[in-house]
Amino acid sequence: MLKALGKVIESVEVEKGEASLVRLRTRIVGEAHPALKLPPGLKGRYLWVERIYRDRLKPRKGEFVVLTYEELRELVRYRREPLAPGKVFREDVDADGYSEVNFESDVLRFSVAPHRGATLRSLEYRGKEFFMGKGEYLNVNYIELGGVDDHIESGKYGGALSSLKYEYEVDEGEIRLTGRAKGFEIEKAINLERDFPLLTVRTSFKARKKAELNYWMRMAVRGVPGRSVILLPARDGLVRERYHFQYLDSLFRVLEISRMSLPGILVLDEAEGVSLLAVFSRLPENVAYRSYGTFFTVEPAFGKASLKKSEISQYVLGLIPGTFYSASGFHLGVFDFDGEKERNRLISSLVTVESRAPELLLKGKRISYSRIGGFDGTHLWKLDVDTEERDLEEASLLIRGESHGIDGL
Amino acid sequence: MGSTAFDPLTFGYEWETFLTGRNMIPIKSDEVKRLGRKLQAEIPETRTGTDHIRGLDSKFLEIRSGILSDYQGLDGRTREIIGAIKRVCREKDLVFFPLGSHPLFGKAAGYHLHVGSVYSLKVAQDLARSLTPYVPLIAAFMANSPFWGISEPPGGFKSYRVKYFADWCSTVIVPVERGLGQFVWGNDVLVKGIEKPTVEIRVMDSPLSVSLLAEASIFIVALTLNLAERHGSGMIDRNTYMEYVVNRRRAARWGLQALFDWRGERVPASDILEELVGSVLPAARKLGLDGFELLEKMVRKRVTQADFLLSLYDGGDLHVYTRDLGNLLERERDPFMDFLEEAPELPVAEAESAEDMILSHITIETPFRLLYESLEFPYDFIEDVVEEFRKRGLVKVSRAPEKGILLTRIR
Repeated sequence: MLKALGKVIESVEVEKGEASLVRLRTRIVGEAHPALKLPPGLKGRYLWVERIYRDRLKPRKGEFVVLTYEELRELVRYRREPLAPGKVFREDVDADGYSEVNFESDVLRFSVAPHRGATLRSLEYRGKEFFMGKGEYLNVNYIELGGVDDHIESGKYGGALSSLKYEYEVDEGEIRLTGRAKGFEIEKAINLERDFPLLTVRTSFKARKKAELNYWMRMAVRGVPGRSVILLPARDGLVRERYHFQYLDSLFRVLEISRMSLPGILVLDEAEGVSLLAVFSRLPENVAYRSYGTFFTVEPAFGKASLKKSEISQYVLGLIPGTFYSASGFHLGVFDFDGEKERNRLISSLVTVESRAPELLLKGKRISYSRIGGFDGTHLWKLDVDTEERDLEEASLLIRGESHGIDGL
Repeated sequence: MGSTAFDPLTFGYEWETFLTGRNMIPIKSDEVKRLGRKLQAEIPETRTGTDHIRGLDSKFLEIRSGILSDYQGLDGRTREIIGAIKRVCREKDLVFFPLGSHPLFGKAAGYHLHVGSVYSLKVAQDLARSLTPYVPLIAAFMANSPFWGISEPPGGFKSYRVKYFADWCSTVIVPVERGLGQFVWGNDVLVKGIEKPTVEIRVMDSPLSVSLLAEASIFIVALTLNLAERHGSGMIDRNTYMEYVVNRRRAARWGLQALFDWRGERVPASDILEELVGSVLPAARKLGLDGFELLEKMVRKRVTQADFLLSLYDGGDLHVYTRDLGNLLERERDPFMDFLEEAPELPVAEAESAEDMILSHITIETPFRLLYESLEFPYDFIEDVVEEFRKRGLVKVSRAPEKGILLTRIR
């Protein structure tokens, strides 16, 4: 959604009518919005554009116009460019005039914006896009494009890290990004499993001098009104929050959960049955949920870390999409339909739950399964309540179900 | 009451306007403040300054007319201020952008008219109450906010600002029993009494037409004068109050095409306005305005400033449109006037019932809170309607200790 401000140098009427076809010669003079940085070399360039205008709205010489991405394309041409063997390539997927780094597997695709905070801009699973949206103008210096970004300052959005430019290198399975801001050297390593829909993001902060770090993530998710549901496992039971479109901050408080029992959050589109599990290597001290028009945000905050010079604090995020879910006070799990075997495969779980009943309601500690393919819901599950913080690699063993011997679904 | 309510009759306005850079993005708060101070120094009779824009790191340039007493003073003062603003904007490469909302961000910009000088709080309250049934009509003919960022469809409402209660700055009037009045900030009509000797009508969208601003102001002052001369308490019954609440929503949606519930019957808003324009004319003449030329044209065609803005929009990029609109407003003195000459007549719209308004807001587990915040209908009314829906099998009602009532549409 790159746009630019242009000054009209010349205006030529090509076809006159109630709405006239007009050709404008413009000179690019600046940004259309402070959040839409112009790619290098664009300012000062000249561009002819053709538009249809009603008579009164026709711009005149010396007036200003806003140029769209489609109109700027001839000056900002980014073709898909392979970066490493396998499905890693550079391409401008969000039309902001800069290339993102894109990874693809058979079921999942994601994009990272190194020029803009190493934001995880897009996550697409079986055709469903979780993050990237049209671009909502939230403030005079911020446009909501969707995605996951890092924060160490207080505030609702924006901040130094979300606009930081990162250097990066790519090999087949991983992108590694480095940047510097606010007294920290920051490293991010993003990894996509080849045969399993698991995306991991490791973010490390190395203090250049003694410092305090208050790290939180902001996940801006595209909301489907009435259908998107956010599930947060709290110590006193599962919290379910349904996304409803509301423009204004409510007269009442924003939802904040400071009693998380598991290091994970589930976001679900109920109608499509597609869910996204976010797993963290640490238990968040607090998770805030906000509604922002067509997006909603989930914001896990990990508390204060006091770092000595050269000390490192690391945070890991795992994102696991799937086709349906089950959840209870003790369990967050995501399933995927294995087309070859025509059955449901448990692909992620922080715990498993014992159940003999084939269908249960999704409330409190009971679980519901949407039926896809051959699942008949009569299998026994081994109960194993997991409340310890786990390293993500260890957690991924649970995710594959290997330590529980789950098979024969 | 009576015209002795006023000691003397005066009025004045606060007009919230956007100031943007060439890219149509509102400028920083400090810059607006500097400009406001400069303008106040240049035209000291005004109190022009700034006001808060909710959720945006910028401020309104709030044009404050100062105390006025007739049409000539109002028109002259307004044109003087606008002239000064446009000159400064040219010098500083800024754009003066007076609309009821910013097309890219939403954000409500209002026009608040004070009518005074009323030194009796009892009289001021009676007057404010008397204005209540007319508030939707005023909202209708001043509709000027048909865009609200990308989260709402352009033209879905002619006044998104009124739909969203002007970002909680112009909310449904809370009825209070006579003798028990307290200060309630932010209603559509407000008794400023403890602070200023005025009644403030806040429901209007910020206008782009200076001519309409002047005529509308005199209309409202003349209407208030007429109501004062009726010597009424302004107490309204339940039916009249519900008519106000529902008509308000219809006015936001349809502008002058709205069909109102009026004294127990369905009457087009344009018909009500036409009659009122005639009945307040004698009072308007005393204020120096010979006729409501503009309002009469709007009534005949049922056309508002919102319709003018929509007539220029082709469905494309909103930022492109906003910049093009900015060019037009800089170039032409009062483009709404020209538009009115050419505009086609619009039909009267269908009237959505209050029940349909409530039902359309219920999806899956919709909290009662959200229903109330979206409509601001009285609690009891919403409760009764929801119970009726439940009995008819239209909705399911569930209870959640931490969220209250949740409503799910069944069919």
